[in-house]
Amino acid sequence: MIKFIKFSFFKSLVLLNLFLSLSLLSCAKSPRDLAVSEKFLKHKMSQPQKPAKKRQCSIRFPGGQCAEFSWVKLPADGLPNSSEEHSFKLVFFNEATQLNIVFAENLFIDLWMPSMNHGSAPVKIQQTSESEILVYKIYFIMSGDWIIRFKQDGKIFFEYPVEIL
Amino acid sequence: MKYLFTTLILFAAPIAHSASCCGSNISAPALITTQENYRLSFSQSTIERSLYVREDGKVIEPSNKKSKISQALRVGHTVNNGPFQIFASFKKTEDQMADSEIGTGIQYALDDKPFDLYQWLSMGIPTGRSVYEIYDATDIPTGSGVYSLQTGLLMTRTFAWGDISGSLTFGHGLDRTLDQTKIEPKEFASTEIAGGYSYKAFRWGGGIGSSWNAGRRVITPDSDSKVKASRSWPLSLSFSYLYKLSLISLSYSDETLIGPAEFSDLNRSITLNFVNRWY
Repeated sequence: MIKFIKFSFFKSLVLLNLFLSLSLLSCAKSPRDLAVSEKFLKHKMSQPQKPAKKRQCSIRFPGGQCAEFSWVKLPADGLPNSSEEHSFKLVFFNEATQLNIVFAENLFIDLWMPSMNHGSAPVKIQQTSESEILVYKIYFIMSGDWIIRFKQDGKIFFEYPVEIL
Repeated sequence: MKYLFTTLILFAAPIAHSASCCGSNISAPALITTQENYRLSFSQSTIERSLYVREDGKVIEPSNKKSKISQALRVGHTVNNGPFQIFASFKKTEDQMADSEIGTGIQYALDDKPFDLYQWLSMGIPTGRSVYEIYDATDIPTGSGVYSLQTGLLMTRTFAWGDISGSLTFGHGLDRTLDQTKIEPKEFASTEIAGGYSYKAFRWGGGIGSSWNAGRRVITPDSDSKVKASRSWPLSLSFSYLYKLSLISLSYSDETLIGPAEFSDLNRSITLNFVNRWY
């Protein structure tokens, strides 16, 4: 009897071990396996990605440079208005290589309302990196059609229209 | 009592606004149209820019209808109890000085006529900040930027039940150079018909007006352009209470109801006014 019990217990243990082993193989991964997977993921990420969407040349400078224009600070409803501060950033890049470049010097930016022939308070420009500037303290003081004027060496080379409702 | 209420004709009259660039260069004159020799009044208005008429005539409802507070102090004095008087008004918008006005008026002796006739001549003084003088983010435009001369006629008639009045104003701005901007303003005009019903110490009044500004030429180093003419039609309602020689009134003005309007902000405003008079 005792022999039978011992044999049954032994058999149960073997079966249990077999069951556990099978479950581990099917569901769990060993730390070593994880380490290999992570290495694999890192390797995969370092491979060349699919080509990114081509950057838009929002503003073309006289010397051939490009700048991407994007609003940074807008009112809560996403529409420029005549009472709140606005800001935008310019990222300068080479259109052919799509790589960032050092931003254009001697750049002057102001606001102008053509229908009334007047401007607004001077804007502030801050260089945030070699190829990026932040233009802030932008206040459109009344409703109507405005333009953001970009000047270099005293000449206007680009006008960015903004409608203030 | 009815005669004392005729002063209210002037305060029921809406303050006409020109294009938003040019500030307020037309206003009901601070004339004394009753028997007292001195008058002092203080008013506070809450003005909301409800609509905006673009240069191409399209009417836009602004996404941001921010209101602003405007205050006015008006003083008047009848010289030697005679027909001549002098007056002045000073205004503030959002705690910043706006344009002022000084002037003189005369009441014509029309003993055989059932109405009273006044004429005035005044000068608008650009004590406010114009759109050409915005140098800081906290600056707001509060004035026209130019001196102006205006003259007008006011006719009033009082009945047992109330009063009616009509006024006509014509003016012209004076050229001025601010920094590198030369402003050449043109003429402006306004007209208004008003009336009121009086019962004991109370008066209910209303008026309809028309305000027109021919625009201006603005010359800068970069450009030379003409600002388009503007027009609006203010409608007003008022309620007032007279106590001895003092008066308190509440009025509502709306430029959005009647058209056609041209190239202008169309405002709605509520004004609380206190008037104190003495001999």
